[in-house]
Amino acid sequence: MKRCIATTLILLAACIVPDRGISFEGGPENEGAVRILQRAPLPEQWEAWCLDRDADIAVSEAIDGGTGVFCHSVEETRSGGLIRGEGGEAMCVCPAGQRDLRAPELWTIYAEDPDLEGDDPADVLYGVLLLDPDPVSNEPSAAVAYENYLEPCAPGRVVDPLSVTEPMRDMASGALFYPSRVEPPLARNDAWQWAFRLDDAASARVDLCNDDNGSSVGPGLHNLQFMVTDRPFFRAVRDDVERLQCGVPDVAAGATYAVINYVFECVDGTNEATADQCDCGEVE
Amino acid sequence: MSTPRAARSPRRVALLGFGLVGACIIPDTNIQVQPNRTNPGTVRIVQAVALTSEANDACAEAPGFQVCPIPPDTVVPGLIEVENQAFCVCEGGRDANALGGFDIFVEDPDVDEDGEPRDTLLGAFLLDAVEGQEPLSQFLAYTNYFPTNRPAQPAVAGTYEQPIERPPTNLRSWTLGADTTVDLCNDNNGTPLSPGLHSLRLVVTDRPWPFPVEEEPDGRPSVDGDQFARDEQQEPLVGLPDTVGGASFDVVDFVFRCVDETTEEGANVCNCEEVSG
Repeated sequence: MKRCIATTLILLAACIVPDRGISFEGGPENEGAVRILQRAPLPEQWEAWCLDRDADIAVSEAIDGGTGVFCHSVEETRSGGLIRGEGGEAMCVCPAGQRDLRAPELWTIYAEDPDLEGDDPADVLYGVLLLDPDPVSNEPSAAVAYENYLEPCAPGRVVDPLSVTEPMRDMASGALFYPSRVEPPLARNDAWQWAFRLDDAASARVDLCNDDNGSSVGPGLHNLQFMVTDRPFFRAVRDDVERLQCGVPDVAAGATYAVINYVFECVDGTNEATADQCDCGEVE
Repeated sequence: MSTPRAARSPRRVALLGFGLVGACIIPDTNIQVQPNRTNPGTVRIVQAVALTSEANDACAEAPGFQVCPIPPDTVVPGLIEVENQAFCVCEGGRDANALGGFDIFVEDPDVDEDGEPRDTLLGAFLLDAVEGQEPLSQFLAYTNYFPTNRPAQPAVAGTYEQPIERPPTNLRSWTLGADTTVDLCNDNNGTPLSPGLHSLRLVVTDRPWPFPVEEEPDGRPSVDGDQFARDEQQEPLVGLPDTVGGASFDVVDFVFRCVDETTEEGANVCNCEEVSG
């Protein structure tokens, strides 16, 4: 009898589950917000520790993740802000048939979203490039640009940031080292990363001043904005016909969005007075 | 005739026990057990974007909304330009075209047991920062407008407090130049900028600025228990998110041009005035 009661009590006590670390689903439809990833300005010393395989092994006994906490959590990407031509020189609007030889190299923009369905991403991320968007415009889609480099309002590609983290063996010493290492932060919830590659499959550069879908942009300062959202872009329905409003996040459907801005200046390479600042060349 | 108590009890107790144990088998559908994350949610800098009337009409179909819930209007990141109004470096020390006061909006989803925001949000401006150049402190800027130890404060968010199909945003903000203008070209802590284009980066984080990690004589990072050891005798590394300590961060960039008042262009476009007193 006593044994039976004791067993029952033990079993009952065993099923008191502490509620820490348990979350119940069924709240808002879109729990987590999308964000664009940039690298933090890490000290050189942290970057060195990140790549130091021996230090990693030495501290791993005491610290979860070893020296991975000193690493960037996203692959190399272009920071927002001012884009200058190669070598810090001017970028230019070139005469017809020529392209800007100082245009920036192709790059990838990364975004993340923390919403999961099991271990898979719950949301698909969509992105678009906008040129000189007006924050109070009634027609944001008019700013959609550079469709030749990034298909507008299309989904990105899921990436595994750890894919660059494989250690390699130094042929001379035999020691293992990380040629590159990216580690998602341990303190935060898991989030899938998505990549949006600016690439026209024709050249190695994004000719911002001369190739906005085949057209040149005017001389002067320009704002290139990339917008990402975790719902398909808004579709307006008029007379039973759906029309995509690319560049308009579907806030009514619970969409979150994030933007990154790149600013660049185009010097007029077709003007004799300023052409000597430029490096324009024939299209291959 | 009743069964003797001693005879029926063990079976009943066992049945009761199994019944109770069975009752606490919780179906695992819709439950996620997570590892111990000290900073599960990530800080974000947020801004309004352009929407169409159709998009706003769609939001108005949701109860309690007349238009879409988005962050309040403010100076948006990217190129800061005011139509027909150049920013200038002024000999007299003040640009009458300087920006009026404006807000920077941030949100962080982490809340405590009472649903109150858990993390303190801090930010810092870096002017014309060059990647890889240290120390970062050489680029710290405009602390006269934006003290790096001032946490973001709860902001009036209107319908953006609880957007459609999203949890509460707990929107917070900093106001720059509440009582003055924000004279980017003439008042970086009292110092004027050089004419030309400038890049201003805002770093926001949800943990305090970190102290440097101590280094062992062999060059490895120093360990203290289950964490890396910090040298608290040194100044904190303002502008650097403490990713080692679990911080999340977000970054936005502003770009603006300062015209020299004394040039021919400046004579046409500037609106400088003397600093009184």
